[in-house]
Order: sequence, then structure tokens, then C-alpha cells
Amino acid sequence: MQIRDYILRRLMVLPILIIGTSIIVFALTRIGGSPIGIYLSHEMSPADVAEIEARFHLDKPLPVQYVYWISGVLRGDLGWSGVAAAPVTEIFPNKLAATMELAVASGLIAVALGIGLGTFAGARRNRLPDHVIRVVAVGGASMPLFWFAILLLIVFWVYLGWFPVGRSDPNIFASIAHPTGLYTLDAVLAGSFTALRDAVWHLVLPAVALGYGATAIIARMMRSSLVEELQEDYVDAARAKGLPERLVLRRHARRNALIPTVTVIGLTFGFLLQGTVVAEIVFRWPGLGRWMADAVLRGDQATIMAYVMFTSVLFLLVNLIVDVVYAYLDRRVVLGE
Amino acid sequence: MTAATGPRQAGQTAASVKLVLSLRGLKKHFPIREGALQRVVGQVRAVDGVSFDIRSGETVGLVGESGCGKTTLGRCVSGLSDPTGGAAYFNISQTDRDGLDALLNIPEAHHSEQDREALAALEAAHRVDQLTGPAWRRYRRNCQVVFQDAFASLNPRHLVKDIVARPLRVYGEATGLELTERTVELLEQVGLGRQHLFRYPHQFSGGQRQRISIARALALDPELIVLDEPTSSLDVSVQAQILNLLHKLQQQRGLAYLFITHNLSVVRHVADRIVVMYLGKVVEAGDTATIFERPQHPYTKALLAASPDLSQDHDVEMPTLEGSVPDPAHPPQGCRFHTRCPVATQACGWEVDDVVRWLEYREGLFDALSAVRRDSPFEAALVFDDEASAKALAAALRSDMVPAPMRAAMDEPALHGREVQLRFREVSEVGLAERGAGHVAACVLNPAGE
Amino acid sequence: MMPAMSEKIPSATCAPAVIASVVDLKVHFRSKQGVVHAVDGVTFDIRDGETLGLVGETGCGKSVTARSFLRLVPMPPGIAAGGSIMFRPRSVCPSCEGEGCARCDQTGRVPAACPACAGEGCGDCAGSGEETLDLLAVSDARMRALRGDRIAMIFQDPGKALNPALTIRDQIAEVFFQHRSAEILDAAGVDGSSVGPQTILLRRQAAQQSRGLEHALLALPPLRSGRNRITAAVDAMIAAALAETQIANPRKIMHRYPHELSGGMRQRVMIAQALACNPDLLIADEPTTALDVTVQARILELIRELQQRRKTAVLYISHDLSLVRRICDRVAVMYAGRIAETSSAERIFQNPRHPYTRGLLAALPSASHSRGQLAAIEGTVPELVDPPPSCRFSGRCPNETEMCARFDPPLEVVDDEHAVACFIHHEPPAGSGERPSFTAKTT
Repeated sequence: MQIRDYILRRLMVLPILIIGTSIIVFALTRIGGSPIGIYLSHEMSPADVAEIEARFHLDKPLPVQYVYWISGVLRGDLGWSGVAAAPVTEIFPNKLAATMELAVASGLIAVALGIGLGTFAGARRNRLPDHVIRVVAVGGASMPLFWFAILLLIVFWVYLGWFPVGRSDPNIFASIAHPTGLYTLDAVLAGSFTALRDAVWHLVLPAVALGYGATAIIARMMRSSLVEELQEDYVDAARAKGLPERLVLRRHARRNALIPTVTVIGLTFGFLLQGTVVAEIVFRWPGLGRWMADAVLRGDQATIMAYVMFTSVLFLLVNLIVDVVYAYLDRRVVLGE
Repeated sequence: MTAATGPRQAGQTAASVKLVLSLRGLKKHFPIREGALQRVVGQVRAVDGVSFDIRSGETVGLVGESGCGKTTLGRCVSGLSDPTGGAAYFNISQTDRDGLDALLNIPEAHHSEQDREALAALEAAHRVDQLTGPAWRRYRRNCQVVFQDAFASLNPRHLVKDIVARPLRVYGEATGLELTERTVELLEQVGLGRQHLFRYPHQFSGGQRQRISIARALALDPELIVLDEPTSSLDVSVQAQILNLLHKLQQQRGLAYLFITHNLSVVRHVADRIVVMYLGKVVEAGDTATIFERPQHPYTKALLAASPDLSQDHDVEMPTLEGSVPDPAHPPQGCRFHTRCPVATQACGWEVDDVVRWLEYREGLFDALSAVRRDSPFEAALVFDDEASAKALAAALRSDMVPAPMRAAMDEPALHGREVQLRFREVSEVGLAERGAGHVAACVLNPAGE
Repeated sequence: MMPAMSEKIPSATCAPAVIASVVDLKVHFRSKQGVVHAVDGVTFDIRDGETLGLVGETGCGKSVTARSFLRLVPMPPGIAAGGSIMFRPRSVCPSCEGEGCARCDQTGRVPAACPACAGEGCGDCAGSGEETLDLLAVSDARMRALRGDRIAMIFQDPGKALNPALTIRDQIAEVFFQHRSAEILDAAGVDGSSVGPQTILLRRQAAQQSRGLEHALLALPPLRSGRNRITAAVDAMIAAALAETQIANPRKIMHRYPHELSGGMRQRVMIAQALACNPDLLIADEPTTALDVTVQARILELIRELQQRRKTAVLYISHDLSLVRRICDRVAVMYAGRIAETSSAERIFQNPRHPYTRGLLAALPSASHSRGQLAAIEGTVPELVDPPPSCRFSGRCPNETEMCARFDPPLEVVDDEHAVACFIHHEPPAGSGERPSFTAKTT
């Protein structure tokens, strides 16, 4: 199948998947009970409560409530966030930008380091660097994120004081405009070195903490697929042409070893999204994850649903991109079979 | 075409010969799906109307190159995949087979009530995809397979004891001590023994693994074994052992073999009759000696010439075939071999695709080709980007740059500006025709070469 | 014992120039069971312009021997346990610059003078005056310079030996970039001797040494035309190489990926790639095994034709005796890490001396055998873990004597060029008692 056809086909299925996800999300959230609690206070009379219930259609049967909610979503109305005391759509973009900045930064670290370390280890199979990297990778894959994050925090913030927590120095942050919401990017656009330094400085610890686990997974995958590729005939054929080992590795083995790794990278993205919740709490990063955690604790269902919907769609899209990259790397792949 | 298969040897009454399996117009097509909606846009015709018989106790060699459909056919015969058209008839007497052929030759619309009943009765009793219950079980037991790669077809986590005994256990043939004894007996028949019971497949050499596969196939005492390239991954010395073993077993048990292979010297050694396939069709079938001594189809001749034999004079130039096997999704018209045939004539089914294929090797011209407007496989307009290219093609088609038979099969190409209108004489598919006792070939040239 | 033995084989000292000689080659592998003696004292010569067939069954060590020429045996687990492969590289004929003339016998290649004695003949070159290299001892850099240029290799399965992620063009281009960068610059009209930054960048491009940022620089206007000229020059060389192997429309084919070509086409691409630099020695490791019979015949014909035209020496590895008979001048039969018999192809098929060779020939099914009567060689190939000092074929041999289990028969010349490692044809080692008697059937 042509790549274009394949994308079209996947995009056609996407709405169905999204509707399905939304039903599951709605049903699972409502199992926790009516969301009315978040809107109430002690001073309200039963009549007030009834009035609020009617305003948010909570007096209707569940399917009707779902229709109200999903039609609101389609109109761009994600409901009222009790935690933020504002409409979800108003808060969402800023929080999203913060989270995306964190996720992308740690994703980049994971991909670059993971592929680099994996290649390094795979090319030196069963020698010292391979063993060292294996230990590091096993650590990354098995250490709980919250624990590793706290460890980093204690060492680099509490004891050494090398890195700050939070997302920014409020004064510097206020000194530049924020057209994209991504602090680093905004700093570059504003041409402010101080702001960029501040942004990166704040980003380092949470991004490293979050990226470590993913780095480990990618590195392990990269190593094993490289080891496999290095035993293929075409690698020997490349050597038989007189290519230096550097080119054999770079042009031949690594490119093919990337193919299975790319699939893993797509799956790792889900892992990163999920990790943002913990990383944002530990490092006081003002993103979606922390907001989400508050919302769960306080039963803010509109926020929860918005968040879960959004991340599901994002995950679906990322994996579509991964499939396309896969098809590009492996010319033999016949998509969709 | 059906009437022509299977030799009728003198001295054997039709009724006495039992056919283990009789294939009639067997087809296996695989759909090609395309586009965002995955609509079926074509069919890969892996097996496209194959008919032949396997008699009880004989070896039929099925020969062809990769992609000719021999393995797919083997899978259909052994019940591993269902044919999309035609059928295999199991355990049918020659008399019944003749009756069946007669019925199948009458178009369905002209069937009388009696015909319909007779056909239904035959099909219910013999047609493999309509067998049910005990008859189906009997068919499955009686038709076993041995694959090329014994390593892949033996479960690496099972002991030899379990692998060989499994069919017996599944069919409830034996249990406990008796099961073990039967297993040992089977292993001994294939030249292994009791000491091998508790080993894993990886502890054996390639030849021994193939013996285990054979033992497993023998477990249920079948009448027919489909051997799909059973010795292709083995060394010659081991291949000889396996071939000897297969012969011994055939003698002892009266087995029939369908021996699928690309190796002609092996098939010459083992087969009573040979069926040669090309692109999903049978091009020639007959007794082994006849096929090797008097091959009729040019493809068979090419195969024989290409297959080296130590006894041949090695300084003889090797005659070789041009080009490669065409795409089975768009098999050539007429005779499917005409695109590569060294003796093709104008009656072999030349068509528009042949011109397009020829164009592919003409760098400038092919790049200038912008569209092919097809009215039928034999008629089309080739549209070029510029008039010069169209003119060049028209000129080339009249010259001896293209094969002479192709030119002869074509009407004068008409040039209309940037278009070249092509028309070929329409030719129907070339069927198998009798070439002697039990010898059939699908070639427009007749035996005398006139 | 082995070095002395090589002198007994006449070809080492005999007239037709020897391009490579393998002397007592031993390649072992470490495994869990012990040390596997995969190649254990193999000695043979390849003469200039001949096709030598190396025949044997799975696991006999023929592929390991072939790969040792290019040092492609992975170490570890492989161990270079001894021996040498002496190779005499040729250089481009000075009078015709590789075009082929009377002086170089139309091959475009002449022997390179020994650097130690300038052609006078010395110890280094065994008195031949030609440059002689031990392929197992030369530096890695020298090895890389030889690979693909002086010694090339064709692999068994072209579907696996071509990188699925690169186009045919990109893969063949690598050979030219590695070994012909000066010619590429010449053809592209770049003055290779100048030292300007532009030339340096282009020179690096032509030798495939550009890295990261350089690619970006080369895409910029001042350098782009130079880069495009280099690309065009390489494309022309690739098209010429592909046309050599009778690939129609090479300029189109070269932009395809391997999986878009048929098996026969892929093998042609492999051959084009291997012969691109007009090597002195071509190693063909079962080049037709993965192909269909009719395609196999064409590829074989192609190899034979190219070999005869260019007079390249070919080491043809195969398990198929009938193919070897068609294409080879001389044959060496290997069994269990040893050479069992070497001779001219004609002789070995007409008068096989070693019981193993006889067994192999007899095991081929043919019209003359009646069914069930194939002469199979009973038993299986021995495990090569720490083998005892006996004949490797003992245990399967129909002519076995008590001698065979105690002594290992060396490869000795029996007549003309026929050398056999079997006690049937020569005396067991001195002091080993009486000569064995051969009462078993010997046909």
C-alpha cells in the first residue's frame, strides 16, 4: 500500500477510535460518582444544589449527559474546572505548553542518548562499555521514576544547589513575551540569552529524571537490534567492499537497526506522558500532569476527561507518525497487512 | 483439458486403478488490496486451474521454479489452505473419475436432473472441501506433509517422542506404553531408534530431522504424503540417504508421493510421472522417461537444459532463458510462457503488455510514455509526452528491434499525433493437448514442430 | 610437517603464475563444547586467471576458508590458529592504464613489483620479484585497500548481501568512493592536487569521508556544481559496471532498492559491484544456490564469460559438483576442515581418487541409478571439536583400514597435478607398521 493511502486509512479510523475512547473515558470517570461535589460549598441550599445540577445537566440520565459532554467537546467547550476555578479550555493551553516542553525535552534526551548508547554498546558487544551501559540501562528501566526524581532533587537541588526547581524565575519569565508557551522557544524568539539560560537550567533536572527510563528502553532495543544487524550478510558485504568500520556501522548496520527501535520510540512516548505526572509533582513543574493529579484528588471530572482525551489522541497520532517513519526506513514494509 | 491428464496404461482396467487424489481445475487466488479502503483490485493467481491425478502407490513429481505455485498447490492438496476454485477429489476410482470428468465437461446449465444427482453423489463422497465427519477425518489422516525446512516444522520445545507420537495421540490411536512402542517402531522405520526418543530437534543433524518429519508423517499410516522440497536443504550424501529411505517406505507401505521440487535430477530419480508448472498452470505432464527424453514444451526443454547433469558433456553451451517470470497478478495472455519463449510464434498470445514490457528497457521512450489506454489486453493506445517518441515507437514496432513473432501478431501500429494505437490478434488461453500416451503439453507448436 | 608438504605440491613452484596460495591455514572457533577445528591445515594455490572450485558439504570449512581471504571471519569466536594466505596483488598496467593491451594480455593488470627487492627476487617474495602479502598479517588499512579493489567477493544470497535500506546506486557507489576517488575527481574535472578548501571538501566527498556539516556545505551553491559533477561521474561508472553484467537500462535500475529486483537481477548487481574495480581475485561463495535453475544457468554463464574476458582468478565455492564441473578449471574437495583431493576438474570427475569424492559423485541422483539404490555415504560429518589424529573420513569410509583411525593421511601428489589425502594412494607415515591392505571395494 502507498504511504499516502495508509495515512488516509489510519486517519479515517481515527474518529472512531476517538469516539470509543471518549465513551470509555466518560464511563470510567462517572463510575467514581457524580462530579457535583467540586461545585458545592457548605452555604448552599438544596435548591441551589438542584439549580447547579440542572445547569450542568447532572439530573439527566448518563447517556444524555454523555451527549451533552461530547457535543460540548466538539464545540470546543471542555467544561468547568473546579480545581482551577475557570473553564478547562482557558487553563489548558498554558499547562499543555509546559508539559509538552518537558515531554519533548526528555524525549529528545531519550532518543539521542538511547540511540547513541545503544549503538556504542552494540558495536562493542560483550566488552567493557557494553557491560557498563547494560548496568546503567537496567537501572533506568527498573528504578521507579518518583524515587529517581527525588534522588536527583536531593543531590542537585538540596545538597549541591546546582539546579533549581519549578519552571522559571518569575521575574525573568515575565520579562519576555510568550507567543508559543514553550519557554525555551519563547526565549530564543525573544533573543534573550538570560531567559534561555533560565529556561534550560530549570528544564534539566525534570527532563533527565523523566528521560532516563525511556533512554534505557531505547538503548537496550538499539543494542540488541544492532547486534542482530551486524551479523547480517550485507554487513560483511560492506566490509568486503573495503569500507572502514565507521561507515559499515553508520551507513549500513545502524540504519537498519533503527527500524525496530523506531517502533519502541513510539511506545516510549506513552511512557513519557504518563511520567510527566510524577515528574511535575516532584519538580513543581506547572504542567498538565500536576493539574491532573489535583483534579483526580478533588474529583474534578471535566479536567480528568479533557486530559485523558487529549493524551489518547496525542498517543494515537504519535504512533501514526512512527509507522510512517518506519515505512520510510524500511522500504520493504507493506503497510497495513 | 481434464480428459487429457493421467496416462491410461494398457493392461490395467480402469476400475482397478484407485486414485488417491484427483485435482480438477484447482485454483488458489490471493486478493490484492489497495487504497485507503482496501478494495480488492486484483488477484494473484498462484494456482490457476490445475488438473492431474495421483494414483495409489505412485510418485508424482511437481516441478517448477520459485513463484510457479507448486508450494501453494501442495498446501491446497494437503488441506493446509482452501482452494478458491476447482476441487480435489479424494480416494476415487478411475471409473468414477471418468464419470466425474464427463459431468464436469457438460456446462452446468445443461445438466439434467440425473446429472445433478450423480454429480452431487460423487462430490459428497470424494470432494475434499465437502467432506464431513468421519470422511473428513479419514482424508486428513490419509494425506500428510513433509516440509523442506525440518527445523522450522518441528517444535523446538518438544521431545522427539512427543513430536512423532502427537498424531497418534490426537487421533486416539494409542496411549501409554503402546504409544511409546508405536513411536519407537516408527523411528526405527526411518533409521532412528529408541535412544532418540528423549531428545530435542536441535540435537539432530539436518538429515536426521528430516527423518523425524517423515516418521511423524507416517504415524497415521497415510496413503499420500506431500513432500515439499524434502531434500533441498540437505547435502548430496544425506539427500541420497533420504531418497533411499523414501523409496524403501514406498515399497513397504504402498505410499503415494506428491514430490514437489525444483531439482530435476532428483525428480528424475524418484518420480513415475512429472507435472511441470509455470506461473500457476501445468505446461506439461507425462511419464518421467517421456518428459526427459521427449519434452514437448519449450519451458520444460529450457528447464532440462539449465539443469546440469554430470553425465552431460560439460563444454556444451548452456542454453538460457531471457527475462524473468512475469507478475502472477497479470499473467500473460495466450501461453503464459510466450514472453520468454525462444520459439514463440505469432499465435502465442502477444499483447499490449509485451510492448510495455519491451518499452521498459528503452530508457528515453519509457520515460516519455505518459499513459496506456487499454480497451482489452490486446488493444490499447499508448500516449506519449511528445510526437517524436510516438513516432519512434511506431517505427521500432515495424523494425526488427522487436521480436518477429510479436510483429507478426500485431496489426500495423497506427500513429495519431502523440498516440500509438496497437492491436493484436486475440488469442485464447493455450490448453493442454495430448502428445502421446499419458503425455500432455500446453504449447501451440505441435510435436513435429510444424 | 605442513610447511614441508606445500613443497610437495608442484603448483607452488610450477609455471603458471600463482596469484594466491593458502598454506596450512587453520581457523578454529571457540564454542561451549570446546575448540572447533573448522579449518584445519588447508593448503592450495589459485593460479592467475583460473577458476578454482572449492567443493564440500555443509560445515566442511569451505566458506570459512573463503572468508579468511578477506579476514571476514569474526574473531572472537574465531581463532586464527595458524598458516598464511599469500597473495600477489596486481597493479594497473602502465602502458594501457587498465584498458587492456598486449603487454598485460588484455587484462589491464600487471604484477606489482616487490617493494623489498624492486622485482629482483628476494626472500620476501619467494624469489618471484612480485609483491607478496600475507593476507592474515597485513595491516587493517592495507586489508581495507585490498578488499573490493584487488579481492572481491560475491555472496550466496544476494537478497541478504545487499543492504535493503540503500539503493543499488548508493551501494555500488561505495566501492568507487573507497577505491577510485582519484578517478572520480578526474572525471568530474576537479583538480585533485590543489589545496583550496573547496577541493578538500570535494576530495573528501569523493572518498566518502564527508561528515555531518560537510554535506550541508556541499549542497550550497559554490560547491554544489562540483558535487553534482562528482555524482554524475560516479553514476556513469556505476552504469558502466551494471551494463557489464548485461543489466538492461542500468540508469533506471540503479535507483531501485534491492527488494524491487528479482533474485537474478540482484545477483547481477552483486557481480557488478564485485567486478567494479577489476579485481585480481574474485571469491564466489555459492553464488547461484539461492537462485532458480534457469536463472542459475544464466548467472553461471555470466560469471564464466566475465572471468574469461577479464582473466580474473576465481575461487568458486560450491556444494554442487555438477556446477563446479561446468565452470571450474581445477577443483579442491574439502571434507571436515581438510582438503581431501585436488586436481584438474576433468580428472577429478573422471578419476576421483579419494573415497569421499567418489562417494559424493555416486550420491548424485542420475538417470543411471535405479530407485532406492543411490550410493549414500552412511553416517554423518564428525564433530570437529578437538578431533583425534585420524583420517577425518574414517568411520564413513568404505575403504577404511585400521591405519586410518591412527594416522592422519597428508595431502600428497599421486600423479601430475592430482593430490590426495588418503592411504590408498601413498604410504602411511614411516614406522607405522605394515602398509594397509585394501580388500574393500574400491570402485
